[in-house]
Amino acid sequence: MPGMTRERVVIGTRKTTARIAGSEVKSIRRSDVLQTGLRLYDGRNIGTAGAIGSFDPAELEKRALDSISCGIEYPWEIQGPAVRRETVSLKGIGHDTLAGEAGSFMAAMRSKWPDLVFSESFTVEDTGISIRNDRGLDLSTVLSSVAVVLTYRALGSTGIIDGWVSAGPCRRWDPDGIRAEFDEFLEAWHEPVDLPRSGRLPVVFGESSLPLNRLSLELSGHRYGTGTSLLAGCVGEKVFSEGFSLSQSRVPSIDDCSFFDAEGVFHEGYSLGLIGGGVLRAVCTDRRTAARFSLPHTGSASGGYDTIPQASADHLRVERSDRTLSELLGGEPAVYIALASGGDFTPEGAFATPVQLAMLHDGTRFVGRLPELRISSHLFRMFGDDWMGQSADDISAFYDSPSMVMRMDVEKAGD
Amino acid sequence: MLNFPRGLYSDVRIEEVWSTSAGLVLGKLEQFVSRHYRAAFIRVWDGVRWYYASTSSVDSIQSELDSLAAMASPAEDILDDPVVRRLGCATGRSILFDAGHVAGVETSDKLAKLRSSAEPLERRAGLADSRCYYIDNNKRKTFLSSLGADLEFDRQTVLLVAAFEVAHGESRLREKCHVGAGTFADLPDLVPVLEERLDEAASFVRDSRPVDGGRMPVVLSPMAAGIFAHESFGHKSEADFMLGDESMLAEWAMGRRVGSEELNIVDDGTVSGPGYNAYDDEGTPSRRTWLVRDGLLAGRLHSASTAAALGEEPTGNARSISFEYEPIPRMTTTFILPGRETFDGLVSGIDDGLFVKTVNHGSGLSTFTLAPSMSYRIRGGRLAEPVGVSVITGDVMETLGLIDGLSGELDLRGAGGGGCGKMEQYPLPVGFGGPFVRVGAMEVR
Repeated sequence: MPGMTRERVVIGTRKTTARIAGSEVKSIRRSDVLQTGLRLYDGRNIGTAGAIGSFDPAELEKRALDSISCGIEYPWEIQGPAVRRETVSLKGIGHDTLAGEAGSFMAAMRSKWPDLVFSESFTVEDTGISIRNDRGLDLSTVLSSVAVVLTYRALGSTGIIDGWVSAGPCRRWDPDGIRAEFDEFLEAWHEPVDLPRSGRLPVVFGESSLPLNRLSLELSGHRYGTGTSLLAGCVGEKVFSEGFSLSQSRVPSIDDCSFFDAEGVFHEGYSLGLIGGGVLRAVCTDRRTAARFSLPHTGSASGGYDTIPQASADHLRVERSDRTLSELLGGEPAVYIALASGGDFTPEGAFATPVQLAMLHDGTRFVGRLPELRISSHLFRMFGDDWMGQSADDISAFYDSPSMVMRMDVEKAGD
Repeated sequence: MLNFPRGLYSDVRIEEVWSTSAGLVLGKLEQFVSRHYRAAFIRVWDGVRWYYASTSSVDSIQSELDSLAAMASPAEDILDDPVVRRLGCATGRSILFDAGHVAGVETSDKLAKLRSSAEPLERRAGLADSRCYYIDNNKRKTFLSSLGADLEFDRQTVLLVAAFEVAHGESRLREKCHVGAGTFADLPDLVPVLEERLDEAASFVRDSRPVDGGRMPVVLSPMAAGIFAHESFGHKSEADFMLGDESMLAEWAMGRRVGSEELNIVDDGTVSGPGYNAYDDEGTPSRRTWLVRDGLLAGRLHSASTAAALGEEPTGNARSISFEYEPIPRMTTTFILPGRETFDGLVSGIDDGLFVKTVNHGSGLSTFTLAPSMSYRIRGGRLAEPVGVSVITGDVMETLGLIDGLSGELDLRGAGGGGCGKMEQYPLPVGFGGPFVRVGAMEVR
């Protein structure tokens, strides 16, 4: 069709999962799913259609054409010519060997921890993501990984979950090393310790945690543009600690995602700085959000194989400092947040949450299990005056896992 | 015609899905997705381990079945296996939505309904942000098993959802509301619901002050009571978390008192709405399961596997979110049954307390939490000023025992497009709700 640009998004996922229940492998699941999306652009509007599995190309095109008539505007330039592929491979395990490896791993866990009941999964996954259009864009990422997630309950416990250990996504399978890390954590978990004192204490979060999730919302270009972000109007201003820098990162081997966004945009180094030295540099936009609010386009579109791309502040990475967790803490004991459910930020940025599982950490190792806690602070204090830094080292040797350290108000639940 | 392998139990679930999702952002259409696909999930059980495959190629079902069978160890006495003995061989067809199927509604009608429903958002001054969505989904399942089960059944939901943010000075409030039905023709009018919610949110954000917290009596709205029942008790009723722990079974022994005599909690997959299913995903008919009856523990939610492990019977709660996942014990529509009081009667008995009207989210581990959105103080037996509450929390069992009043009405609804999450399987459509519920004391912050 003259004047029409076609773009095809294909996501193929092959996954094998060994499901654990009662500390044993109880099932093996394989899945093989192919998703194909077609986008049509007529210069004014966009239309999309998708298929799962095999499909009739003519029928897919007809549905995408029908979709254009809905009138979803897309008058912007389509991503131009570029050809690039990135592949991240997995060593030491595959789909066919996962069940046996998981069985051996769990036999050792049962032997070492007979007082715990483990659940959840071991997963090997291969994902291929590609975007191609007739402007010459041809980008693809292939990711392979293994991941272990084990939740546990102590025999006699009345809770659904008492804690969890995990590793992944990993690019190499080292069961002895992973089990040694799990053992270290679980040994500490078996040692109840008291909170050194109530009040302001160093608190350690992983990156997939409530604080960074909330910051992600505030960095949304849509929220910034509508004035509903707590950071609205602050681009160019110092909003957080000088020691706090943040990027949107799409490095496939680290961030386990494609190096390009849903509109086919990528940056050299696959990373774009959003906050540098505490100064807000940019908020996350796709083409639509950038145009609507006259903001710089950051290549931050996300979406499914058949959806219209939308801006998203995902894949955020805090820049590592040059200090280890031990150096950041300077000898002070820290509260490591392992499980915190039910808390939230208020619309004004105040934060409070119950902590169902917290561990005492001395900077080099887990010392023991703390009682249930409550922690509280405010977004601007957490990443501002109370920010202590992002560790140079990782909590786990098997995947990217730096620690965010900040001072917060900590008290025992029930006090 | 499938050839089921000998010496094994096996079943196949084929899902055919039609869905539409359209979204207005700040009054402009920014999302439209229309899907139709067929895909399958295949299971094989050898008496020791389950083997699963999901495929987006329905032509490969037989080869997937054969491949799984090759991994399994056939057993001549598989029909005597406790799991297999709990799996049915029902045949039948329960298609409710041949008439009123969402695929038969023109896209232009869906978009017109979306636009007219969003009009209050465009008319209203002072909204910082607004979104409105039309979402429909029809899922038709064919279930075949080596025992001879041959079922075809469907479910369908149509939803209109509005979300907005209002601001007054430094105060802000995000709220949402929705209406839903089984068919497009039955969809209620969102406009009056949205107008009312916009009015209330505007006055709430203008007048509310942070609550002076503490331990106090609380009246929960049906929505808040539903989230409480789901998060605090429903998940603990899913039998898979009890496997491998005798002491847990003793703790959750049937007949144990967990609440006052007035307290009844059920899970019911036969109730129309997001939790409805004629059969679960291993062919067991849906039913009402009493979780708490007259304050005593009365049941739990099972798949065939968990029922066999605990020596009980399946309850029709083996559910999966899609063809990519195996069925596991999940809730359907879970709610506290109504009592005899009125809302005014519940409030009038409180000198100094709190009414929780809407809730952002809840959780239910060892302690439960509810994060209210709009709440009001109760003073001298009447509703008083609006207050901002960060969290309501308490011990699950203790709080169930403190329920001392239930209103007579029953208001059931869904999450408005979201659903329930359990590890990797999110979102699963579920229903929740209940009457207005008075709790003698809860920790309010």
